[in-house]
Formats: sequence, structure tokens, C-alpha cells
Amino acid sequence: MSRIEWRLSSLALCAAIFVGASQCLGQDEKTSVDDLQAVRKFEQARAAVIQKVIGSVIAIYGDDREGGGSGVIIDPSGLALTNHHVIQAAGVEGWGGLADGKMYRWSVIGTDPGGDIALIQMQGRDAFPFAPLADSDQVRVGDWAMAMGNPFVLTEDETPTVTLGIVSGVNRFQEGAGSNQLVYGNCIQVDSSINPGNSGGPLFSMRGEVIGINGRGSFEERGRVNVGLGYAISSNQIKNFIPDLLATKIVEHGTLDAVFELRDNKVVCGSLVEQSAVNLAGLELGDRLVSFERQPIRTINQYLNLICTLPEGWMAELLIEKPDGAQKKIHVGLYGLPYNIEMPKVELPPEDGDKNPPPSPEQKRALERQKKMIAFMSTDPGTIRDAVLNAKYTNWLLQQWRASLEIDEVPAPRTIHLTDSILVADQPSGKQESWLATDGRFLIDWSAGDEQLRIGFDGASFWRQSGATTKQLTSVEAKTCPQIVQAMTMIAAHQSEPFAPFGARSLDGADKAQNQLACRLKFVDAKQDWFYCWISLFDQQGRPHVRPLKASSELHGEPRGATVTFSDWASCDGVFIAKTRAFVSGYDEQIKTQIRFESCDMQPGIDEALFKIPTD
Amino acid sequence: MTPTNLIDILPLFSRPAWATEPRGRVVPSRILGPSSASLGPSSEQFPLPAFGERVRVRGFRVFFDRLYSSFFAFAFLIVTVLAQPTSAHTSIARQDKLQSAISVDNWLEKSIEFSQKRMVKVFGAGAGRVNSYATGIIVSAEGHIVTMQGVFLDGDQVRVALPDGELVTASVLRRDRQYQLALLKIPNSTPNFFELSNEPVGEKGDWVVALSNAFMVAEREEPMSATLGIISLSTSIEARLNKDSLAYRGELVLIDAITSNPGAGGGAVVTSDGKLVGTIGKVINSSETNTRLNYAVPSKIIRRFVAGEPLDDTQKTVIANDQKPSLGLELFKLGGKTGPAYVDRILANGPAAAAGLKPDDLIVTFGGEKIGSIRDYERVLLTLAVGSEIIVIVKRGEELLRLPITPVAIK
Repeated sequence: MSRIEWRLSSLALCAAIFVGASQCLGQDEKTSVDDLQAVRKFEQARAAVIQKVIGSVIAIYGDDREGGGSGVIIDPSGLALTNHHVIQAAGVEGWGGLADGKMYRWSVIGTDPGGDIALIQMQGRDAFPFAPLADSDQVRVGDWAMAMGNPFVLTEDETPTVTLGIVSGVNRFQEGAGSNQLVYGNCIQVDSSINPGNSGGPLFSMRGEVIGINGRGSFEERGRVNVGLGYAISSNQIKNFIPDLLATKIVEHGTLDAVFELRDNKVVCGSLVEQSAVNLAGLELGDRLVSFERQPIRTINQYLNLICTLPEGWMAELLIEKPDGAQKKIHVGLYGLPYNIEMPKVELPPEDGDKNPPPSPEQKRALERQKKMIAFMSTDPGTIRDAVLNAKYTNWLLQQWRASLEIDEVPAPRTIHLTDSILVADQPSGKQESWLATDGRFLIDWSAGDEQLRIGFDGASFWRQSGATTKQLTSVEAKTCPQIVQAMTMIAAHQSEPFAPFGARSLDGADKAQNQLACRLKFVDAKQDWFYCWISLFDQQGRPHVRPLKASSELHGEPRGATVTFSDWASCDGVFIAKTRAFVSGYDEQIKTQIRFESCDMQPGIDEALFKIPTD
Repeated sequence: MTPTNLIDILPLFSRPAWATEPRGRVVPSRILGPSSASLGPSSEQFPLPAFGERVRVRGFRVFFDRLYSSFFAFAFLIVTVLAQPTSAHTSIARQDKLQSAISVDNWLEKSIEFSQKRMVKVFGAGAGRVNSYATGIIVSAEGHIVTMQGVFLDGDQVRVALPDGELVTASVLRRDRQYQLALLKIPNSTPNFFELSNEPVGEKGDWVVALSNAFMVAEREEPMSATLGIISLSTSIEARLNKDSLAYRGELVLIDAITSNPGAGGGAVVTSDGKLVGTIGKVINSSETNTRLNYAVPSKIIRRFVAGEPLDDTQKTVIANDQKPSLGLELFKLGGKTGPAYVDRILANGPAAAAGLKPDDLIVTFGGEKIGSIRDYERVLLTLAVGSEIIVIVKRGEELLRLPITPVAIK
């Protein structure tokens, strides 16, 4: 800019400021008191929400302190979310700055390269400020949305940057990079400013709930800065992956091994892997996909949006239509989409005497960090990476379970006396009377149709009395007896070691039970026999809510096992019981026998004699 | 934090290995990172904010802070001072708007829903880096669609995705370089279309929603992307930083929602009650600052275009051959030709006298051209047409005055 131009533009600037200012002042004079109060009210409400959640936002740094991203704490224990691409750049552990100005250590628990989400653990505080995950299906275009994080690593005191905008679009699909990685399916598009460094940070609703994790934007050639199109991974997708992430897995996303295409405005199977699970289950080329996961499918994106949000192993439900018009319902477990993860290259400078000096301490530390990252990312996808960490989060889930059922830390010994009616095909067919002791012992009088049974557990062995004969049951016999599965699950949370007779526990990952998201706990005994218990993680409103949904010795409700579902948990004299239970079979949990609550009473203490094995 | 500090921090970002170009879509979105050095070395590359801010008084200050080192300041000045004073408005109307903006009864949602039914995705032919798609608005029950003028309409076939996802072939009725708009027609008739107002819609400070298929994020029946902003200014763009870089000249509505994106052209800018303020115009880009103007071509201009009327062009670039124009004033020339264009003397009964110019006025612009020196003044003067009114902007004391003036021939 030449001198004269500069002089003139400065001059012009002064003039413009004057004009602008006088215009603004003019505007202000016309603004009424009511106007200002309305604005103030809105601003106060917004500021209050920001104050409520700001403590949960993390400025994430790697140990090398180069660059940075963002994250958000979702549980007081310090469980936090960020992007996979943030931990990929930052490493498996590092520092996280909170708005209190302090830095805390974080380490990674599990990651989802396909959906660009990582679960990390913040350490160093008893109770962290946190923000709950919203039900992102309720998000509408036009809703206000606040992004928080650390764009351009601006913050010096660790307080996050807040940017306000609106939801520009929902159910957006943005293809990934690399092989099956960083796919943003069913994501939320916003015009809140999202810039490099915002990655992994939360997108808040005006209720202060996390509706998504920001991680991506549309950019122009001019640079990687906001142009009004940012994308956040929806909180509902994240919820589907949290059980697997808690289980310390590198999670793969699910695929049907079939590709659909649009023909005559119908979504039709265009190619598929022969002999794949979905093919064996009945899907053939040319079949129309009518619905997926009970959602009607009209476009390819709709289908992609749904399947993108599901982890490997998820039992998906499809409704297909054959060319002749016949419809068929299919249940199929999703295969994992493999990743081809690029590992950082580790180059150790050769140490050969005087020519090359030994690596500096910084180089050594950088090497250690890279090695840790490689070790982390070398885990086979879908497997438990760290059994110790897994046990920690299994226990954390049990704690949540106990808290949800309002069970004291040291529960007083009690006996629940329960009377239920038994229904077969919705017709009353009998009665069940049971005594459930909080230490795990139980006794059941089962009378349905011609069947008269007495089943019990004395704390060491299971037994069953039918007619005059009493028989001790093996562990396999016990876990395939629906009455026993029912009784054990009802009182499981009252014991420090639930389902102890069925073996050692671990968190197996994400699954579906009663058609909702569940964490699947796995119990393996000495003979390598399995038992599973499905517990919920969030309620319909997306609030943490851990309750048993299902228990079975079989993964998919195969008829040889005993599968029991639990619902309508309610307090009875201060003890929560499932008022409706059902013996079911199959993927879609077809009810064979239903057990409905009639009455109950609580007896203090445990009468040991009651639970003893009857002797003839 | 000043832009200088910002640039200092940026090199701290490391570019991770995953930052490869995604496959697939035409203009893919990118993964954000703890990334990347590509923001560039100079403050010029850091874009200006969109015009205006939501809190107006503060917004202006912030705006000017950031504007300071930018050459774009000049364009803004001109745009600012050319602004037509907004008509007087009642406080009650404004209050209603404010209330509706913050109430639970979400007008945003309603306005967006209303508009989505009146918008289409337009697909033409792409070549090289030229986008093959744009957005369009339905402006008649017979299926007339207004979209952005562009080479993508040159292909054999222009296809339009209707709000319900139906894909139909459209015929191009008219394309106009001046308006930078194109008129399409589809065979379908529809009850849902935008009314084109002959009056200005919305005023400075009003909330607006801009809807478009920027970056082709939406497919088929998927809804357009919605961004929120306010009307920053209704004005006409006469400033010419570089004549060729301006795709459109004439009246426009500046907004602070970011709309200058690929594929957004032809999108709708609507008020809280779903009235069409205008359509998102072609990208106007400053090659010097790498910044873009976010604006709408006003509804009444679209109406004129649809009716087939010529665009009013206040820019007279025709040089009168035999008549040398004069404004009836003399400049203070003691500083030489590079000095500022201060008025020294006003000739009696001349155009300057009629226009109300006075000695010591500093001529800032006239005829849409920046006047940086006496030399500029003399050059621009020669291009004026005798008898056609132009606007001259002068600085008098602390005031900027916008005066119409009609050059006469030198006798």
C-alpha cells in the first residue's frame, strides 16, 4: 500500500468509525427499555448455561505440548470424550487443562477411529465438573448450539472459547478419510465457529447438554478456518460406542457386507459378499431394504447414517422385500469394517560411537511416546486392550448400577418375599413365590400348569426339587434354568461380587437388549462357560441410568439357554425390583413366559434355614 | 488478542499424518486438527470477520479493530457511507422481533421449515475447478426458479432436485451477466414459492436465516444448510477495488452469516417470518485480503430480473467523445498531483455549487471510484458522462457527506 493510500485509508477509517459510531448511537436511542431487558434476559440465561458447563470443557495437550485439541468430561469420575484424531496426534496420555486453571493428567481408555471418538480418563480429582450427553435425536435445525473448546490453542489460563450459532443441518453424512476412518455419519452441522483446536470439544444445547463432539468443518482453499460449516458427531452415536470404549477396545464400525443403491427411488441391494451373515440370513441381490433398525429407508444416506452409528457385533434388524413383494425380517450381527491404521514411524538414531551422539533426553522421551502410541494402536480391533482397566470400568458400572438402584454401600441383610403371577401367551397359568436374600441366597416356589418346582441356592450350591426328588445342579444346569437366572439378576447388585458362581466378570462391550443400547457384562467360569448380563447405560432421556435389561447364558438368546428380560424397575419397601420379567428366546426376544409382580414384603435379616437344601 | 499474536501461535500446530485429502465428495469437508500450518504467514490471510456482529455497538468496535490493517477498510467505508438511511421504524416492531428471537416458540425453526419447501438444488455441468452445482429458489407457482448465473449452466442439461427429492430437468429461460442471476423453469407447478417483494425486506439489525446447499452437503430431499445472522447493511456496491473482481454491482444486503461458499449462490436469505430478503449472490472476493463479502441480492432486484427489466446501472463508464465534463470546482493543487483532492474554489452556478460542495471539502470518492489524489480525480473526471448524475462523497470537518452531482460540459 502506498503512502498516500495509507494516509487516505486511515483518514477514511477515522471517518467511517465516526459514521459507524454515530449510527450505532442513533440505533441505541431507539432501543426501548423492554428491548434491552429481553436481550439481557436471554444473555443472562445463556451466561448461566455457560457457567454451568464451562468447567467440563478440557483443553487437551499431548506430553510434547505441541498443538492441542479439546474435550469434555461426561462423568464426575473424569470420563471424558475427545476426537480420535486428537489422541492420534497428542498420544495416549497427556495434560488436560480445565477452566479452574489447573492441568490434570489424562490417559486414553479406548478409541473409535471410524467415528473419530476417543474416551479418555482425567485424573487427579475426586469429582470433576461434567456435562451430560443429550438425546441428539431431539436436535432440530434452527436450535441454538454453543461450541466450546480451544481453537488455535488460544487459551492461556485454560478457560475455553465459546462460540454461538445454530444447528444448520441434522442427519448429515460426510465421508471419511483413509480406510473407513473418521466418517461423520448422522452428524450435526452447525454454523457456530469451529476452527482447528476445537477438535474433540463439545457442542452444547442451550440446556447445557452435550449434543455432539465437534471435529470437522468444510473449508475453502484459503485455509483451514471456519466458513460457517462445522460438523459434530452426534451424542447418540457416541453412546452406542461408549460400552466398547469403556471395555478398552479399539472399536470397529459395523457393516452388513452388502452395498445398497438407489434404483427407481428404491434402496436396493446392489452387491453383497456371498456367504456373508446377511446373505445366509436371506438377503439377496435386488432385494429392497424397507427398513433398518426399525427406521424406514428411502435414501442411501439414510441407511448409511444409521449403520455408521453402530459398532461391530451389533445385532441389526432389517426388513427386506423380495422382488415378488414378499417381506422378510432379518436379524444379523454386523461385521467390523477393518482399519488400515498408519503407524507413526519410529526412527532411533543409530548409536555408533563418536559419529552419532546418543539420543538426547527429549529424543528418548519422544521415542517412548511413539512406542506407547504404536503399542496402543497395535491392539487387535474389537479386543479388550487392557484387562486391568477393563476391570476398573466394570466395577465403575457396577457402582452405577448400585447407585441407580439406591443400594447402600454396605447393605443391611434383608430378604425380599415376592409373589408373582405367571403368564403364558398372556393367559394366567400359575404363581411364583420367591424369597431373595440380599447376600445372594434364594428360594423359589414355582407352580405353573402341571409343573411344581422348588428351586434354591444356599450360597454354595444350586438345587432343584421336582416332586419328591431333590437334585443338586451343576453350574451349567443352573445358568440354563430361567428361574435361577431371574432370581440371581434381581439381587445381583446387592452383592459385592454379583454372579460370582458364574465366574469372573468383564465388560464385553456394546449390545442391544430390549431394543435399546446396553453394556454387556460377561462372566467366565473355570470351565470357560459363559454367562452374560445386559445392563442399560442411559435412559430414554439420555441420562446415565444403569439397570439390568437381560441376562442369559447365550449371546443371541438361543433356545438351549435361559434368557430373561427385566423391566419396570420400581422400589418395593426401599428395594428396587423388576416388576415385569420374561423368559424369552431369539434375537428379537420373543416372550415365552411372563412373570408379573403381585405383591412383596421385606423381611429384615436372613433366615439361613429357609435356603438350606432340603434333605429327604 | 491481536491477529499478530494469533499468527505466532499457529506454528505450534503440528500437521498429523492423517491429514490426507478425503476421497469422494465434490468439495469434501476436512477433519479439523490440532493442525496445521496452512493458515499462512501474513495477517492478510487471516480472514476478516463477517460484516457486523450481533451486539451492534460492541460489534462495530471489534470489527474496526480487526479491520485496521486491511485495505478492505476503504471498500467498507464506501459501502458504509453509501448506505441509504434506514426508514424510521417503530420500537414495537423491533421489540416483537427481539422477543421472537429469544422465545421458546422457535421462529428459526418455522422460518427454516417454510423456506425449505421453496428451495431447490441445481445441478449443471462442472469443469475443472468450477462447481457444477448451486442452490435455487422457487419464485412462481408455474415452476420458475432463480439461481446464480454461472458457467455450470452451459451444459446440455440442467437438473433440479425438488424439496421432496424428485429430480427434474429444467430449461434455462434467461441468464444475465449484470444481475448475475439465471431464470430456470421446471415443468412442475407448486403451491410453494417465495413472493418477490418490490419493497426492501428487513432492515439493519434484523435476524435472518441463510439457507443453501453450500459444499453440496445435502443430497436429494435432504434439507439445505441453515446459518443465522443479521442484516448488517442495505446498500449498493459501487466501490471498485478491482473492477473485474466484483461479480455483481448494484443494490445488495450485507449479512453477517457466512454465505460466500461454493454452491451457496442462489440460496435464500429470509427474515424471521419467512419473507425473502434476497438470494445469496455470487462470490465477491477481494484478491488483496482474500476475504469475501456475505450478501444477498435483494428481492426487488430479483423481481425486476424475473420481469425482464434491465438492471439500473448508475455507473456511467461511457466516455463522452466530444464533451469534456466538468464539476465546476477547482482543487487545491499546491501539493502537486499526488496530494489529496481538497476543494479550493467553487465556480458560481456550476454543478458543485448546485450540489452544495464547499471549499476545503476533501473529495473521497466519486462515480464509485476511490479518489486518493488529485491525479485520481482528474482521471475519473474524464470518464464521466455529461448530464448523468453521480454520487460524490466528501469529508467536511468530521462529517462524510454523500452528494448527488451532475457533470456539465466545459464550454
